[in-house]
Amino acid sequence: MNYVIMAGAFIIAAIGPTVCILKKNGKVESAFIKGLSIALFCVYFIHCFTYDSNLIHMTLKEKVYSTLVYPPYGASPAVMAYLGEWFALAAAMAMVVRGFFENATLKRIALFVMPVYCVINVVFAPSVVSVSMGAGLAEAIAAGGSQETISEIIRNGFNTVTVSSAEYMVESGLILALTVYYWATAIIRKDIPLFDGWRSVMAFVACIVFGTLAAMPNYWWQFLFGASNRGASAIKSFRLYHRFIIYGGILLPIIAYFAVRHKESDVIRCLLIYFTLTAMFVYCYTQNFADLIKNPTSWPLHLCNTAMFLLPICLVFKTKKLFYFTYFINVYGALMAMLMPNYSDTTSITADSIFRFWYNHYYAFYMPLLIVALKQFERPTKKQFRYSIVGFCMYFVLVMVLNVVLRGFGYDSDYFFLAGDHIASTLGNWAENIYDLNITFDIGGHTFMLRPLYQGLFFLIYIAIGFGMWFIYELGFSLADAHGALVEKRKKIKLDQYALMSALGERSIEEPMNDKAGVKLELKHFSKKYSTSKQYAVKDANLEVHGGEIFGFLGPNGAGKSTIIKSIVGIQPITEGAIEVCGYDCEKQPVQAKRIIGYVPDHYALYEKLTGREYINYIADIYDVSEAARNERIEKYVKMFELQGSIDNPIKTYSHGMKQKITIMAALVHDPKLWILDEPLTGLDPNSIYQVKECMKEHAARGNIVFFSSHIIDVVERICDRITIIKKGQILVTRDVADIEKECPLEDYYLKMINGENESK
Amino acid sequence: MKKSVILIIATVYLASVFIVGLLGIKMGIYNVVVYAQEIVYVPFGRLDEAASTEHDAVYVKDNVSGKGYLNERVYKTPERKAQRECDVAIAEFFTEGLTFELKFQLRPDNVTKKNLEYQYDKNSVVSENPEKGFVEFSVNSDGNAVVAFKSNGTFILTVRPADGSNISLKVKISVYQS
Amino acid sequence: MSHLKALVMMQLRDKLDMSFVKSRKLLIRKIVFTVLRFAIVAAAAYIVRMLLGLLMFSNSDTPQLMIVVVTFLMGISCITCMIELVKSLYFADDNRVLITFPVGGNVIFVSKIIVCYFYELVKEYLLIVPILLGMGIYSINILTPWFIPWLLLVWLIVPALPVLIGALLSIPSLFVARFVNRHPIVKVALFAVIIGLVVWGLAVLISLLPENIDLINQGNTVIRNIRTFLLDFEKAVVPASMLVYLITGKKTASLSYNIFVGRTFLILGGLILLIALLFGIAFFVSRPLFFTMMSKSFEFEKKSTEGNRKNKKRGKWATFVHKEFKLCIANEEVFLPFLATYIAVPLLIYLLNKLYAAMNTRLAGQVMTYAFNLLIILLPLLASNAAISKLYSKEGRAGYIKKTKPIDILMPIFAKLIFFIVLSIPSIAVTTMIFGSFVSDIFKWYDLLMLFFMVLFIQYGHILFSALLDMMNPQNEQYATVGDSVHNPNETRSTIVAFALSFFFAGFGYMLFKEVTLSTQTVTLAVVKLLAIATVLLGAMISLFIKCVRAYYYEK
Repeated sequence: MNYVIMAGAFIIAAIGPTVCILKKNGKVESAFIKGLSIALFCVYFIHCFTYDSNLIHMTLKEKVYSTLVYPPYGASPAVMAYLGEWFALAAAMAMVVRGFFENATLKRIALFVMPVYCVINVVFAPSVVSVSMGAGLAEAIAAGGSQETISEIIRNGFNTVTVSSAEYMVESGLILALTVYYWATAIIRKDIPLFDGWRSVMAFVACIVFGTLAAMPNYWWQFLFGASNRGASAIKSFRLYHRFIIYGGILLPIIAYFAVRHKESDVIRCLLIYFTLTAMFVYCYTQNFADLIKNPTSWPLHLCNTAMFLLPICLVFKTKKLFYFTYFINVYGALMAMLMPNYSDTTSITADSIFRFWYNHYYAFYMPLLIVALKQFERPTKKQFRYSIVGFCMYFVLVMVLNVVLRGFGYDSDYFFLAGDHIASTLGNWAENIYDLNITFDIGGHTFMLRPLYQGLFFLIYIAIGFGMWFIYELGFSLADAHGALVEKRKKIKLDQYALMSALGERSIEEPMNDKAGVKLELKHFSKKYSTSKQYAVKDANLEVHGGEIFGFLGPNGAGKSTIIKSIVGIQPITEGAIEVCGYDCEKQPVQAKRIIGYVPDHYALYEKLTGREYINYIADIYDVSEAARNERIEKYVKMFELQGSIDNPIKTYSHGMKQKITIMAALVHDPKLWILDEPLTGLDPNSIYQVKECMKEHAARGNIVFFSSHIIDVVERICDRITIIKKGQILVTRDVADIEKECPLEDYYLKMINGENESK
Repeated sequence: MKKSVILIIATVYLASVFIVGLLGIKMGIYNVVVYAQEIVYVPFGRLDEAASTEHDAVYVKDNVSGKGYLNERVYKTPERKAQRECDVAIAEFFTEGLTFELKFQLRPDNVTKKNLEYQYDKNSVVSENPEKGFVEFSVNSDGNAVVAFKSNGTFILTVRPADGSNISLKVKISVYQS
Repeated sequence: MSHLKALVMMQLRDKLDMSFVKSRKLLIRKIVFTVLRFAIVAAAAYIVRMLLGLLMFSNSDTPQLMIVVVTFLMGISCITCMIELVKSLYFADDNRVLITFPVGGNVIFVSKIIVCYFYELVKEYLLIVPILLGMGIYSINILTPWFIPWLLLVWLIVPALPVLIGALLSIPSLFVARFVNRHPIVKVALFAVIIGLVVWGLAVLISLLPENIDLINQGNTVIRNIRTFLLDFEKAVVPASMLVYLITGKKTASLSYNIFVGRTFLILGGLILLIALLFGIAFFVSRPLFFTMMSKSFEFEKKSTEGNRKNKKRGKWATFVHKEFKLCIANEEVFLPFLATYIAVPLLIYLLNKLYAAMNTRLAGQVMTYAFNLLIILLPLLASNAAISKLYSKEGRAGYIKKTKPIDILMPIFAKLIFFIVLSIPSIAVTTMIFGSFVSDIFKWYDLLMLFFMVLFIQYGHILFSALLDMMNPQNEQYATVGDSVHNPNETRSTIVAFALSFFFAGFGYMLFKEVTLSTQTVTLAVVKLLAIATVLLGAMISLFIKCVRAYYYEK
């Protein structure tokens, strides 16, 4: 009879899609398939309310070993039966989501795995129905019935149609119908998604393994934890393999995040819906929903219980308010619950209650976080946080009223732990004293009790912690963003390195990218914009300076001189364009470029507790100057700058001019090809200015570039070969000084250029 | 380090001492240490009421181990103790080879550590033949002092409780040839 | 007189932040916060006094307790005033400007004394006065209500004492400081001797602790001894006692105190005379000396050299490390606090374990002691790393110059940390050995070795974290312009994480130790787990540090 029901369900389910395929009506066909998926879900859902939950709540030894031991099935078929019960959930939910999502792995599962399942299901349906849904089986086992009685019940199990068995057969029929449909359409439309690489195989295998694990009923976990021996006493402490399983379970969400975070949003949503649906049903089978109306204490009104239902609803219907309620309120509620478990210390670790507790609460804790991490919902705003607080207030009032009313009518309800003393006894005597304060009132012969102080404090503290959660989430998001930025930057660094290597070809990284450049400083369409400003500090600057030149850089304050100089020496990054120093690109070969640059900043920055000699030797070490070379150069410049009596004194004892001279010496100790000086003569006495000028001339005479920025036009006029004038980030002109002098003094020319622009505007 | 940080660390430090001191030590009736408050000499002899006064309690015993005559004086008042420079004076008239056991009691009776420590100053030995050693002193398994006399002489034994309480009993033992 | 007033006002505006005067809103805010701060300190003092009152001290003991407080705090005030005045009188940067004004050196001197007095007045009014007030209010039924206004009035002139004592002591201190600075060997030797004496002295004191401490049963004896000590202390520290008698008055036959008696006014007169005398001495002794001593501070010790020392070549890494070591040792502000912490931690642990050893702890108590040891080892060590969170920023503009050099940026950055990494090793080793000597029956040598590495790894992980904070949120510009007084958010973050890490490891350690000692009586497994977590932490920090530094210093 049960088979008849399965066949009937199959035929009815298959009619619609068959007609649509034949009539080639894609839209209606799609609607039918979605309808069948929803129907499958509904049947499965209703099953929760008709399942004989006494079977679930039996101890493992009673349930499994009773049936394993007693004929007619024996060990293997009975194990297969329980496996069948397990796989039924996985298969059903896979087909439910298949109706709404089209990704390749899901298609492969529907085509390659489901037929196998359907065949096994058809064969083992009798044993599944018998051991799980047989009428009177639970009562017989609980009553310690004889072997013959239990065997008889099992033997007749499949011959009797119960509500539960009928639903199971309808589910099987629907799954079979959908499986046939998917195969038919794949063949007709020649759309069989074969494997296209090892990644698709890995994804397929992973989905099957983890998808099946997700649907595993509690009693299988109990098996793994060693509660399989009929005579075993309560297991009180963890063994090593227990720890592996527990740590694995804890790490699973983290592994899942890293595994799927780069997938498309649709794929992630499909996986999450599958997982939340299976979790919901795994939870349902641990509860006594068959007595839902008769027994209000089984209503899933504890916060973490509601999370099992809310999360799939939120994912399927994309309900933001409901989701953020769970995100703010459920997460830390679950955390608090895990910190204060409401089972006794003497409970065996393999007990059903412990599994239910940890499964439910850990799920309610990490699932909302995972959903936001995988970007199925956006990061919450303050508005959503406020809504969640309002939602919590409504929930609190509801459960408080229910507790009062139900307890008045004699039920032992304790939703959200508002009525019982679990939390108070965990916290200590002071909490119990607060808990004991109550107000009672009698209505219609029933006594109703309120605990205003305890419940009020509970509410306030929960709200306060909720506010704290906001800050914790903010911290978490900022850490995640920082990490994300770091990852992006590292990717960019890698890409740039590849680009550099390909540009260099077979040449070494020490060789210049532009090996034909010679001694030259070149700015190519260089632009610089600071992150804090919308305007460019320097826009499209082009410049070429050759070896042997002393090049003057003139401009008013804020023109962009220091910006250009700092970009050349590497203090600031380049926004657009390129800068080359002797063929080395400053951006792509920064270390190589810096080796041939000597920089004298506008404000010296010295280590004042070192002596002058120590400081210069330190710089020489950085530039890898040989001992002979540094000896020669240091002595030469010490003599030139007349520092013989001070070079071995601490820098803090130096005057301003002496410090500037040390800075100049440090910039020259490695004989750079490009020597950049930014306002070097400020505050120097005439003798020192003369010495610095001589040094510049001597350095340029040896074929090097001296790039010199200054306000003192007299000095620029006297020593520079060429100058450039910059104003408001734009290079106005680049000319030989000699040419300018033919027309007018440099100062007049400079002023004309600087002010001339204003006149023309 | 900022001052506030130093202050917090100091507070945590003090708290760590007090928390262990108040919550981490052995508590309960069975673990309370009762210190000795008094040492009392347990005399061998019987009370000689005629010889006893308000300052002294005198005990006598004949034929101690069949070998002599024992006179024990337990001084009661501080003046007498100061006068005699001891708390108990035992005079023993003996023939050679006498050994006897000195017994003391600690008060209150429920003292945690009942052991006694004995000390005698060798310089306090007064004897005709101090090099020979007129007395052999030992402690038996019951914790009582056992004194074996070889020749006559005097020495002072100081008895203290082993729990470190600041009380003691000075016993002057004099042995005379009979 | 007008010159003096102008000088005082100018320096006051610089020393005390008077910007709130400009805005009414800021002014009200400042007043409210000041009053609040005063009230909080007074309330805390009241609560402490109350707790002491519950345990041991009655109302009549309040004056003795006040004497202890006054002795301690005024003693510290004298020392800090002396140090402040040495800096302010002889080494302050504004002296270069003040010296050019058309005023006599003695006017400058007096202005600085007055500025220091006002500064000290504010400090004492925010610390000593509320403490005395809190304690006095607790015992107000034996002290009169007049105590409150009288205290506030009298304490207007009391701060002059430490200021003037400091001023007088500053003269010989300066000579000593300059002598010591001129002869670095003397400085180092003196420093080593003082440190050695302090450490040895503390170790001896700690070893004198009794072997049996039972706070509950020996309570009465302890209280009696403390009372005797307080009475002896009152007799010994006459100046502090006089000050307290000045504010509390004299005990009457009815055991209450009366302020307005002859003795009070006598003491007040004596105080005023003493202040006048000290001021006179300071003025007349320092007047001829002040200008000379002040101007000498601007002279640099120039040793004329012939400039023919050798130039030594080192490898890049060696040159960075050499430079950092030289700078760290020369920079006392950085070096000394670390040294102080690294010396203090072993002493703290020695004292703590001596106290614990004297207690008859049960098993749970023993486990508590292990956890608290971990906490007290980690707290100061990690909290001292807050200085590392401003290490790179303190370079100021010199920090940018790193970017112009052709080097792997990790080299100078790591080199800066090497000094602290190396310096922490002996401290942690000694601390572990001291701890081990007290728990050798439970902790075997390999447990202690693992504990050593655990603490070391946590310390290194936190050093890297603090350094990373500084690099990701640099404050170079602020340090270049304003200097060390800048409020640095990185320091706060580093300190918070230090506390969090210390409490986490102590708490987790407590749970692990409890679990293992109850079952197996050995702590090896617990230590292994702690070491594993510390290793993961260090590994993660090293990896994050390198990645962040490379990303941050990347050219684009």
